[in-house]
Amino acid sequence: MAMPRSWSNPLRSLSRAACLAVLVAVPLDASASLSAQPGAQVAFTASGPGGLKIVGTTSELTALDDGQTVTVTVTLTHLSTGIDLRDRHMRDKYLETPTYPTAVLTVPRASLALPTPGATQAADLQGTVTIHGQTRPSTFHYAATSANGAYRVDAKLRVNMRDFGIVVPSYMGVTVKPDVDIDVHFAAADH
Amino acid sequence: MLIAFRWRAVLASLAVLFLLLVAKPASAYPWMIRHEYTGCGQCHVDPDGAGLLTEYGRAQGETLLRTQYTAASPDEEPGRVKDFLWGAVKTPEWLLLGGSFRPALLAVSLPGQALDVTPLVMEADLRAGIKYEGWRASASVGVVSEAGSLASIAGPVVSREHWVGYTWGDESLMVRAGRINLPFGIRSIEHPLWVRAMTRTDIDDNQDHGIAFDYSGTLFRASVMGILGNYQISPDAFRDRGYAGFLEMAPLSRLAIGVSSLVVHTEKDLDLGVPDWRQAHGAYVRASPFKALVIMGEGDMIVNTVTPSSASSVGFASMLQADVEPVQGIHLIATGESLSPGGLAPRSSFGAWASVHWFFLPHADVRFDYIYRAQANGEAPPPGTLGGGLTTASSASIPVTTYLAQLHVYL
Repeated sequence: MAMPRSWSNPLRSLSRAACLAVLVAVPLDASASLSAQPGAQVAFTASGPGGLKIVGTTSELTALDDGQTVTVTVTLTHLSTGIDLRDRHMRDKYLETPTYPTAVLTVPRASLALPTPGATQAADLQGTVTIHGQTRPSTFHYAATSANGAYRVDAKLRVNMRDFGIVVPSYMGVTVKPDVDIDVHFAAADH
Repeated sequence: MLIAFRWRAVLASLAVLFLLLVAKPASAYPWMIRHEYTGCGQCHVDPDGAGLLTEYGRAQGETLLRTQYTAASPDEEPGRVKDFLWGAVKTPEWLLLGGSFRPALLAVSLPGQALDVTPLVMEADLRAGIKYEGWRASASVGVVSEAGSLASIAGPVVSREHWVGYTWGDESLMVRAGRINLPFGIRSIEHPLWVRAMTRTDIDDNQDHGIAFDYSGTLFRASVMGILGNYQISPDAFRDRGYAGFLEMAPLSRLAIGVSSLVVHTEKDLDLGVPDWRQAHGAYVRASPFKALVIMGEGDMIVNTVTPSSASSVGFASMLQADVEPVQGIHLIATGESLSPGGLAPRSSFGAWASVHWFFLPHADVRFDYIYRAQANGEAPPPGTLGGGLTTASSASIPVTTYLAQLHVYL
């Protein structure tokens, strides 16, 4: 998987390495520091009539821990569904990525807990989601597994396009459902 | 003398059989799974695929199927050229019109005989359908160049399908009645493949009348059809009655795995001329490990049981196909197949196909096939015994080489 684009600048990477944290499982121990590893995968899954399933994927994910809030940012400008025309519709007509290039999930750091080595920590948490320039509260499920000093983080949430002011996509008589499932997978390492 | 007579009869039969089998395909492209389309209902009125296109299907035909000749074109809108008659006629949203014309040149090479070249009109069909609220309907009418089609309604005039149905649950459920393609195995255009021919489940003229129930979900799709018989043939004794169906799961966006089953009874089997139960049970897979490659495989057990003697044969047909699309619109296809008819025919037949299929212009494609088959030699089994085709215990195989060039234009 491609490395997050924001890591391509060494200076930014250095500063971010000090504050990057995983979406979940951040302990209140101020000495702990986590950073996301290459290999993130984010999938947006929409469904439509007759069993239609559209999956848009990207690996452009960053996470920031400021001590109060963990912020996970997904860059949408290269979100790909595998069909160029559909991607263009998605970017320009629905997500309007030139104006709103990112989707952001924020979580209070205090609500997160790290799993003990060899264990898995899973829970449903409250956070806020910002897509298409609009912020809404959202409940998401996460699971973090600790192994060999690293953490594998999987998170799932469902959003409704209408809640974020996104026009429900419709093309040539095929209209997708407004609910979109978002799956986030990334690894994090202890520092 | 008798052997020589049989040998000539077999060669002649093979040539005629292949010519009949190879004719008249309709369009169905199961390799669209490379674009993560595991189902068919968005592009076709028939939720199981093939035949009349929806507006969305027409758009995909223009956007995804054909070769794009300019660098900027992959994300261009398809425009009106995708529409019926290349956009010359505007149809209301609820009315779907279409048609296919497929002239071809078929050449068959048999041992000891000159190359037999035959021009063909494989397909000349007009299609119409309705998509109005939950109602769906589709019908075709066309002409074929040879007599004896199972889809014939009057001499060379054929109607392959005509059905009406209703869909609900966001188009995930449909019930329909009429003359319907049998839901079994991979719905592809290669009718002569033994998995289609021996199970009699091709989309050429092997449709039956009946009632079908279809389900199309994001993880599963399924169809089961109660078969009432082909009411375009008579007498009634020739009509199959029973069921056919499939269940398919798509655990990944580019992977679909399915099982199929068919059981029918006829009072006078079209091939055997005796009462029999015919069964086919099998599994298939469509997989696209990466976008340029689609691999499809199918294996079917075929059981014929003649009544009242209960003499049975258990045969097996299989195929494995790789479709490579190095440039959009150009498909390089390699196919292998086998047939073990069972019964009195312990020997197997093998086939290999090499094909090039090019979608070169809006609504137009050309295809070239080279087909080599080592066909188990023999004679048709006598009534009351089963061989499952042109087979015998003879030691020889007949090499049959076929060249097929076809142009396909759809309206």
